[in-house]
Amino acid sequence: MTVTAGQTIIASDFKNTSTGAGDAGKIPKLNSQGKLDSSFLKFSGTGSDGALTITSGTTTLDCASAKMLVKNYSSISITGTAKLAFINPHANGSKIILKSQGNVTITSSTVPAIDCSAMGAIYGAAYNAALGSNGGGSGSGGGSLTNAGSNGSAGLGSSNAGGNSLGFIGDIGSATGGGGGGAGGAGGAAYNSNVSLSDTYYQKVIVLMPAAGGGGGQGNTNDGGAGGRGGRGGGALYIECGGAYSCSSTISVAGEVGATATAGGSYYAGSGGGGGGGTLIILYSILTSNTGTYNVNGGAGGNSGTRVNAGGAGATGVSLIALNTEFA
Amino acid sequence: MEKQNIIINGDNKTKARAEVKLLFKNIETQKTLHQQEFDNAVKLYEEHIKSCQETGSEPEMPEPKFSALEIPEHILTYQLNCQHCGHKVGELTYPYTKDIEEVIAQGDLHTSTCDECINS
Repeated sequence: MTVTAGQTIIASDFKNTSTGAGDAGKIPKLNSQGKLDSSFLKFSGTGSDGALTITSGTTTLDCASAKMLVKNYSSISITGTAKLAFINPHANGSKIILKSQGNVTITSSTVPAIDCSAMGAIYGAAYNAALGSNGGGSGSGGGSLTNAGSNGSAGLGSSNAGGNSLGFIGDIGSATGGGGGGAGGAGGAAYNSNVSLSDTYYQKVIVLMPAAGGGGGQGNTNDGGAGGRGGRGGGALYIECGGAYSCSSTISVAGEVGATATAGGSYYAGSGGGGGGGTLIILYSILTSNTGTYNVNGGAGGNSGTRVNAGGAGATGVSLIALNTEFA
Repeated sequence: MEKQNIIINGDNKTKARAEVKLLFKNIETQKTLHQQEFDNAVKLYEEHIKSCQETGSEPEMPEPKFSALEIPEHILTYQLNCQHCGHKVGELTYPYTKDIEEVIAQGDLHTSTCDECINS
């Protein structure tokens, strides 16, 4: 019953959780922490996607090439040997947002328990061409939100055009993908090396950006050499936990390793650069325990070897795991 | 009414739809019966008051107060089963009031493979 003027208020008129429109006109009641339950608030979402509980195997969500995937769970539990993974990122990388009105419990022994690696921007393809008597350089690493990727190795002989690379074009800017091989492409630039997630968080701004892909390496088709492609950038993962957060597992937004080139008969070929490490932000209302491992590493460049130049490493990404004190 | 857990998986979506429909029907029936009981109690009370007024005696029967029917929290469970062998790896759970078609659509967005099939 909706509370109206002059009506006697009874216990059932008070609600410590909201089920939505059916509770219109009721009175909110503080929970055991003396706070409003997250179902009254926007932080942690609507819970409309139900309570996710996985205990084994790999459960995969398809980003369907969208820039953003948002799930509104009422709680998240990834235990036993379970793994939550994602596929089909947007060409410029996908942002994955997992909201949970209740507890988030991640204790799975599988590494990683949540895998958002290689969900960033696409890699540069290998650049294979007839290069005369020149060797191919390797691709550079992709940039991340705050760091630049490493340069690729210079090729032997004169400089040639680099392979393909693509940086992420986000809503707020972009990190740059690694340069292709040749005389050694420049490492992918960071979006902004002055960004501090802690600072932006406390200014009520969430910066969520997948990382750039690594550049492709170069190969000389005159002697059968083939460059290695770059690694895909790491994805961007944001978890909002309206209940208690407990994590002892690994969560990854790492960049992908660049592919190793195939050496030519006479000349050097270049391996691909690694993808940049992505962005990981987890905000919780209550902390139960946090012994988790958060992998924001850039992907290693493709290997070096006989007549193979190593690719540049992707930049390290960023993470912030913190108590939510700012968002309601 | 006993608490009910309706399981939805790849093989029994039609059955689950029927179970949900039946559950709602049962709840409506329970609500109707509950309301009828209250209406009957009110009728008896009114007759008692009228009788007391006619005889000049003090009413002894307390006035009936309506309280909503307590419905157990039924649950809809979408089982996350291995796409290869059907082995259960997890589940998505919802309150019974959630539209079953939305539950099925959401659940179908999750594709699972069990550890055995991954390693084989």
